[in-house]
This record gives sequence, structure tokens and C-alpha cells, in this order.
Amino acid sequence: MDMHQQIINFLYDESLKDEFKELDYDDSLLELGIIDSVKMLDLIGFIEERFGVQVDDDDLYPENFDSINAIVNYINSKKNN
Amino acid sequence: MGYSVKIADLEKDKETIVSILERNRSRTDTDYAKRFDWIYLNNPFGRAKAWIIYNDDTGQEVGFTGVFPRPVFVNGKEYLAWNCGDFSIDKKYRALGVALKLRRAAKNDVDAGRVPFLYAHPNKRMEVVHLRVGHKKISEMRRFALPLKFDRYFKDRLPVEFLAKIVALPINSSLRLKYALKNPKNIKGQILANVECRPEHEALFEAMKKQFKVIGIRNCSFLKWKFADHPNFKYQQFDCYRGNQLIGTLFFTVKNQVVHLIDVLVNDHQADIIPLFARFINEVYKNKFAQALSFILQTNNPIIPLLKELGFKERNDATSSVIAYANEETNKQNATIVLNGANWFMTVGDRDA
Repeated sequence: MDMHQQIINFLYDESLKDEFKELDYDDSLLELGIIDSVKMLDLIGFIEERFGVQVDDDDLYPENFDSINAIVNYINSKKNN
Repeated sequence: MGYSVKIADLEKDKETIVSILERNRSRTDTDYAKRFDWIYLNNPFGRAKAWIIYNDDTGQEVGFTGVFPRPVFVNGKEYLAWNCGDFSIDKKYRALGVALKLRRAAKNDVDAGRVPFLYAHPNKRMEVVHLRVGHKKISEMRRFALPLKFDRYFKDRLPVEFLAKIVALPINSSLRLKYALKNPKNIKGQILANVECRPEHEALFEAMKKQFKVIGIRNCSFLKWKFADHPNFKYQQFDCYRGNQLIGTLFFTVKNQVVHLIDVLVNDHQADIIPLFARFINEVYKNKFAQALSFILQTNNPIIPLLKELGFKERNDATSSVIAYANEETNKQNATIVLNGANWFMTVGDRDA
């Protein structure tokens, strides 16, 4: 399964199924309510465990986490470093 | 990518702060501009401090937070602590990093010794941010409710309103009798339409300082500001006497036939809470303005067992955390006491809403 889909599967929430149905990889996860501070903490744990990268507090900005594409790009850039 | 936190100039940045609040809060009963003057500029214990966070690329403000000075007594000694509030970040910036950066601003002042400790009442989402920067969860706030009449309960469940009233009548009458019997003859009480603080109220707070290890100030300056001067809410007061001695005072507001208790002053909580509340309940019955009482308290508050004895039941619909922070290395003595929720006397009145 590709990285995009793994992240979507992790974030999936039945109560937001309409948002997920038409989710584009560039859609704002914050604006759609898919990510909030609690979900972010879970997501950090998921990324660290699944993809073996260390997520620093200084990286927790919308530029890195506001869309599926942004998250994938962030993980890839951390892996390459 | 960058975000900068700047200390707000409360005069120049009023419009910015009010605008962030208005676009991030859903309350319809609050005039945020008036509230700003009340809570940021006119606090009797000094002006609030606020920090605004900006997106460096656009120069646009994306969030802010405030701290409100509040004298807190720790083992009888007064400290000017901070009550944190108004944490607001625009939706598209809620990826935790902005929140952490903003949240650390107040903590840095505690670590630098500029303020001895802080406390806050965050919801679940904000609790995460507090814990991540190193604040401690010391307790939770819970709502306790006491039904006085069952008209509304049956009205929601029966097809005809008249039938609901008939079914509720014997239950209402037996409840009223129950509280009438709990009311000692030498206890008298009076509801005041406006909040008034006199030396005898100050004396109640002095008595409370001796009963509780950690308690926020409840003197006349505070009570006048908190209740009488509030720009958006109308508060009332109930004074309760044994003979000629004031034994307790309740501060409350009424909304949708529910008395929302906000705070209590009491001479001796073990001896006086039950007569104070029993007398108040009788006054509410007499004045026919409410179907229930509601009081949000910190779960360690020692008056809770007494309220339960009166029939208050815990509800799970208004939970928030109680967070505190004191530097355990530089301020060890205070930190040990303040970071233990069991030491606090705390009610919903300790939030500055």
C-alpha cells in the first residue's frame, strides 16, 4: 500500500466519511476537521513508528501536515536526511 | 516557514485580539470588545498579558493567548499567579506546532521567575498542548446537578403538557418538602438582584483561607470585578445567616430555568455548606425561577461530598482538565503544593470567562 493510502487509513474517521469520500491529496486536513491537536499527537506516533522518522516539535506546522501530500513530502524529506 | 510570538500591546492590539476571538469562538452571548476591556485592562490585580503569534511569510496574525493575574493563597501566603485563558488559533494553523510555540510563552515567564505559577482549564484538545509543553494535569472540573422540579423532564416524555404537570406534581411536592425539612429554623437567607460585597463577605474569605491550602482570592475587589462589573452576564447573590452572622454566600446566574452556581463563600464548609444550600434551595422554590441547580467544581473540592449528601448528582457533560505549572527546580516548595489538585479549593468561578 502506498504511503498516501496508509496515512488516509490511519486518519480515517467514520464520523467524517463524507470528507474522506472526496478527499484530494492537496485538501486541507485542518480546514476539513480531519486533524486537530489530539489527532496530531496520534499521527506523530504513527509516523514515527511506521516510517521510522523522528518528528520534532519544530516541524509541527501546517506546511508539513495540512494535506496528505504535505505529510508524504515531509516524511520523504526526513527519510532522505 | 516560520511563526513569531510577540507580546501584545493591549492598547494597539485590542482590535486584533478581539477579531481572533470573534472568528474562533461560537458564543452568541458575549460582546468580545467589552469583555476585552473588562478582563485585559480592568482586572483589579493588574493588566493581563497577551501574546500574538504571526505567520512570518504573510505577516498575518494566526492566534493569541492571554494570562490574567490572580492572587492565590498557598498555605495562607499570597502569590500573584496567572490564570491562563483565551487560547485561540485559526483553524488552518492548528497543526500543534503553532499552539506549542504560543503555549510556551507563558511557561517561559514562570521558568524565568517572573510569575510563581500558572493554572488553566483546557478542554481535551487543548490539554494535549499543555501536557506537551510540560504543564501538569492536576485534576478535572465536573458538573454537579440537582433537579428541583420534574415538569420539564415529563414534558419531554409525555404527549400532553397538562399530563406532565400532573405526573410531576407529587414528585415536586415531595422534593420541596425534603428540602424544607433540611432547613434549620435559625437559618435565614436573602437573594440579592445585584452583587454586593461588604466586610462580612471579606471575613468569609479570610475564614476560607485558613481552611484550604490553595485558594484563589475572593475578596471584595475580586467579587465586584468578577460579578458586579461583568460586561456580558448578570449575576445574583444569596446571603445566608445563622442568627445575625453571615455563614455563606452564593453567586449565581439563571439561564433557561437553571440556576448556574458560579462560586461560594463559606465560613466553615463542614458545618455550613448544607444549611447554606438547603436555605438557598428553599428560596429558589419560593421564587419559582428555576427547575434545577448546576455547579461546576474541581473534583477534589471538599464541598462535593456535602453537595452529594443534599442530592447533587455528578454529570459528565461539562468536563475540562485543570492544569498547573510551577518550576519544580527553582520553586520546589510551592510546586509541591500547587501541583497537587487535592490542595486546591476550586470552582468554576476560578475561570475568568
